[in-house]
Amino acid sequence: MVDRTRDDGARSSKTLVLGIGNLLLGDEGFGIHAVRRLRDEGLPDGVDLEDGGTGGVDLLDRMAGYGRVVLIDAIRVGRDSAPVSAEAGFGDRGSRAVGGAASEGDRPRAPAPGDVVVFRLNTVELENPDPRFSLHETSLGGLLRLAASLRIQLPEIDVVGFVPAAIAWSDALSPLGSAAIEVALARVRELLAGRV
Amino acid sequence: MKGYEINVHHITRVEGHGNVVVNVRDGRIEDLRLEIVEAPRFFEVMLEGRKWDEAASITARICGICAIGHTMASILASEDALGIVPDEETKLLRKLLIDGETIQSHILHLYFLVAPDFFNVGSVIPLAGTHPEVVKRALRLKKLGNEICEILAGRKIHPIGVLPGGFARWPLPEEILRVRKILEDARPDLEATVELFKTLKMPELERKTEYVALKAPGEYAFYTGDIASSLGKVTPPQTYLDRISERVVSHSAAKHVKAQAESYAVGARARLNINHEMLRPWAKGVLKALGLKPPLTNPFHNNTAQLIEVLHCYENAIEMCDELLARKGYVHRMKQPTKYGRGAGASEVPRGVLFHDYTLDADGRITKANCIIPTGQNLANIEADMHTLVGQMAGREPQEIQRGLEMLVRAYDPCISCATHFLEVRFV
Repeated sequence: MVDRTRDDGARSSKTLVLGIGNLLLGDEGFGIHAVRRLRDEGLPDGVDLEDGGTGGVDLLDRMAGYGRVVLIDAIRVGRDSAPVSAEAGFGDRGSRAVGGAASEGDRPRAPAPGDVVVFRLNTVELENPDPRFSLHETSLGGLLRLAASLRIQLPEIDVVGFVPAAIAWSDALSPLGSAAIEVALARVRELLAGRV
Repeated sequence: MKGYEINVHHITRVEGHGNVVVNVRDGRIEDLRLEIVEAPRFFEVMLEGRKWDEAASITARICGICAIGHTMASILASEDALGIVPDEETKLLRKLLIDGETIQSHILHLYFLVAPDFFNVGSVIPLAGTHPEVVKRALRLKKLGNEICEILAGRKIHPIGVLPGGFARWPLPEEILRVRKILEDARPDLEATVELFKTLKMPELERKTEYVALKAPGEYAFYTGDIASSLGKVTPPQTYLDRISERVVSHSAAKHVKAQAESYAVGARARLNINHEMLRPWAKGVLKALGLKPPLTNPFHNNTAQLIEVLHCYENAIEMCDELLARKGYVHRMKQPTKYGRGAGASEVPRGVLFHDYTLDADGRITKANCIIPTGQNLANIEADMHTLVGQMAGREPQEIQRGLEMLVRAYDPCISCATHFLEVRFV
């Protein structure tokens, strides 16, 4: 069997847009809703798109062979997190910055439910990166540590994160989630075009 | 036995949130509980009002580990409600998918959740540091199930082409050959897996209980079958409500379930105890080489039964490939509904028998759904085993007893499917 989890040395130039989450848990499925929209609308040539669902450790295999991954996922922000530049979606009315350098007037603040936050994964601290490592509950932090232990080189990972407003059994996004999708898709396209 | 208290909030390495509470005073167990939140009840509400042809794709999203299993129970219930009888080739392909999923689920449980106990580490991550080849092997075997699912059902997880009446797309012969090759190539990794787990000695614990699993003529039943009990009764899946009863227990959000005895076990050990004569040769040979003779009455041997089932499913999957390849000239046609009524389906998923039950209205919409998951069925039995284990370990240090209890719960491979997987971050 070919071992595609091994370290292949040089990074590939290929890019993957990967949405993850549980489609049945409301805003937890944000990444999957985003992937579905991107599939309908199309992506630039040379960019692959995947619905990672709740694949857990499969994500290591999904990311293998790519130089860069744009990951769309629901995020939980630590209580003592520093203020960042974040955006809240307002559907047809577009989006606005609600903090950080991009804001005009608003004071920077920690991301709140309904916000979209873009960051490079290696610039943040991952909370609780391991102890409850299991099959469904695989945290990305746990996966990164596992990859490091196995000396698997991972791609550069940019995250388009959404702070969920409603986690409940539903295959639809909350109103805040629906509005934020537009912002998230715009950020994904900007990342792919190298504008972020 | 002196008094002690054990309070494990959130057992590690089980799927979802489970708490263990034990209170022993003057040698008497005053309190002993396993609390696991059972979520699929909410999922049933989600199905209500949906058209029959939406149910399979919704159920495929419940879980990333046993998506095929949930889909199977769902389409079996739907087909029963719709008056559809799938053709033999459809059944063969479904069985092949189930084999792939069972291999990957058991492998992950054994390597990621069970093995760390035997290597005396807290999780698979330190294990990856000290034994990288072991963890890489697990990841390769895990991938096997995903690849089979992708080739045959359109996606690595959460299949999309598996529907009531058949498959949205029938695989080409070369694709089935590819699956066969993937399986054959995995043999050395499976042999190494057997060698590794042979060396792990399961803790001792004996307690007689009832085992419930599906039984089908001429095979080790996974896909579907009649409901069989080690206490002797065999009845069709539609009788599941007569066979098992749920009861509310004050200490748990999840209901407890009983069949003929006060509690029963489902899962790999129950299947093996009921169907061991139908194991494929390699699986049967390894079981014998391990010196084990069914019925396996030690619950820790659910781990061993999973190992045996991995080998069985491997051999069975190759057989399914060969049978499908032999059906030259077969043209797949989706079967269409002949009625809208009520139907129940039962399928063996990695953790045990799963029941889905749908009632459709005159427009084919689901008006009522019922779903009984394996972990819910095992809860009462796990608690009964915990009682026995606490008694057996009397006089030992509480930390040791706690570890034994956690290993016991893990051996059942309990799972709830609502676990979220947020990326938890702190901006600095």
